[in-house]
Amino acid sequence: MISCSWYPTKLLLLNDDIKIRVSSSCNKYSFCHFSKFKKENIRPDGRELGEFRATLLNVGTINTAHGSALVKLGNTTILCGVKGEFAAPPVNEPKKGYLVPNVELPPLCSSQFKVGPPSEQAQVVSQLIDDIVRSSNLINLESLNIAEGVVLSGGESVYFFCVGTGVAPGFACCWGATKLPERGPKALSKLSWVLHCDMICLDYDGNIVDASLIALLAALKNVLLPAVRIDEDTGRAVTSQEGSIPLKLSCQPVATSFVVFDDTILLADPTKEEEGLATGAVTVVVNEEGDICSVHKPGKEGALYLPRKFMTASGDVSRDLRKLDSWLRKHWRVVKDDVPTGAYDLD
Amino acid sequence: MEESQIREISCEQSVLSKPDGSSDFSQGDSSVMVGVYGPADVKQNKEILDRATIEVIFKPKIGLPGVREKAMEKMISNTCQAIILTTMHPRSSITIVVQVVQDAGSLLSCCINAVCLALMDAGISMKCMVAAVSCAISEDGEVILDPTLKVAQVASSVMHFAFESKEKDVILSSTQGMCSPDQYLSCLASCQEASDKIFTFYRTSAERRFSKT
Repeated sequence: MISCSWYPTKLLLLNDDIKIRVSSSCNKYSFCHFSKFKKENIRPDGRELGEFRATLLNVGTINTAHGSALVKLGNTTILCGVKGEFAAPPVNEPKKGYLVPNVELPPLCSSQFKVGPPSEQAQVVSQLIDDIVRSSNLINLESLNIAEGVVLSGGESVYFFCVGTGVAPGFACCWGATKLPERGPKALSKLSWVLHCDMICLDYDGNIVDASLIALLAALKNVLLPAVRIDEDTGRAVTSQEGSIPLKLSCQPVATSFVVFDDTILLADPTKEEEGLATGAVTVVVNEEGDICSVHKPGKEGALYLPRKFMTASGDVSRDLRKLDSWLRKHWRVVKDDVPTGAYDLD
Repeated sequence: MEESQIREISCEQSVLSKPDGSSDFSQGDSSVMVGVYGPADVKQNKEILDRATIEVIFKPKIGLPGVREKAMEKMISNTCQAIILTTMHPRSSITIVVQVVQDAGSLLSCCINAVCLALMDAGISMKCMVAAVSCAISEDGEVILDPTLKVAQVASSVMHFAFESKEKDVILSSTQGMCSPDQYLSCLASCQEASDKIFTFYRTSAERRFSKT
């Protein structure tokens, strides 16, 4: 058997006082490679154990969507676009609209994803984001209601036409027609917004839940929905750019993910390699008041779990994330005056 | 208190002839049937060199499985990965089929408990047992264990936990709705306590099954 020491070693300088000798036979993605760094309480990319990667945010990147944002968390890149459409409200809840989050992991973002129907992981993350949105009451779904029980004249099929005017950044025309159900000579109709929130991963380097939630939040804060008026004569829904309204978000949930390495160490904001080597993972979602929206620990190997440690850790990290929070607040104020586009460095 | 108790549990093992292990588990009115096949052949693209591939198929009572079911599948399979000694059966598959018979609340924990009993029946080597307990926080802040569908609908939050039998460590945690950190920890503690009842049930059911009388 060839021992590791036969191979030339490489001296890695992470910062001024930490030098780590790594054997070149040690695979970059292997456990032994990571263990060397673990001893120094540092990670291969130079971060401390509880440190997050640099976050870049670019808001209003897509001008054909109602709201959009691009988030970079280290290398992980998520692009979120929110598009509003007209739809009939749910039958059992006629006063509400919908919010449909969807996470896509295309083959572009990593070799582990193939073309075809959404991968298992994409579905699981979509479901988790949906659960978080529901749990935190992020949006009052009743505010997405446009018209409830409008009496429309005429027996023939009535179409709703959404007429948009002009294209401004962060605001797009929504061209669409919704056929209304015919019910006798007078149709009683209900209309709501359905917000399709598509989060597309462009680069997959771990911690996709946190990045997706930041992207979703930033994009939703960027949303400007056109004002809708229902023309009583024609039964058409007419949209106008004047009086377009931003969405009201009731809270700002921030997700913080950790992985458990070697059953003893907690790493915040894991990269893809760290996720692969970890024995367990947990995502804690807290809002600005410190209430828990979700604690998601999806089994996995390594039963270690220290609830209090996770709780306090998430507290610390969310304090770090106040930067993001305060920045989003600042951004939210800007949204009211003007539609902001552009890139921002959150750190 | 009547409300903060786990509903009545009953279980029958080896109910199906074809699977290597099966269980018909019910917790109150929630009922789940589980079949376990394995260790068996694995499809080449799912083969893992140093351990067994665990595959969970979750079948809802009606309709086709959707994204929610996929998420349940993933949670169940991750939980199983934590307890099964997968390295004992490299390059083979363990397939777990979960069929919902009746959903009357706390479905996820009901499924996990049923899966654990089916794995025991199949004789698959495990590090430890797993027991799952759900709880809900009612609007007035009371913790209700093993909530029914009706209770869960009006509750401010619902949580599911799975514990392993050795140290009572948490394997799985999944929450819906908002709560404070203190509420979360108190729910965790009461579920941890209640998991004892399920572990005792596992033991007595195994004892009864294998005793000669």
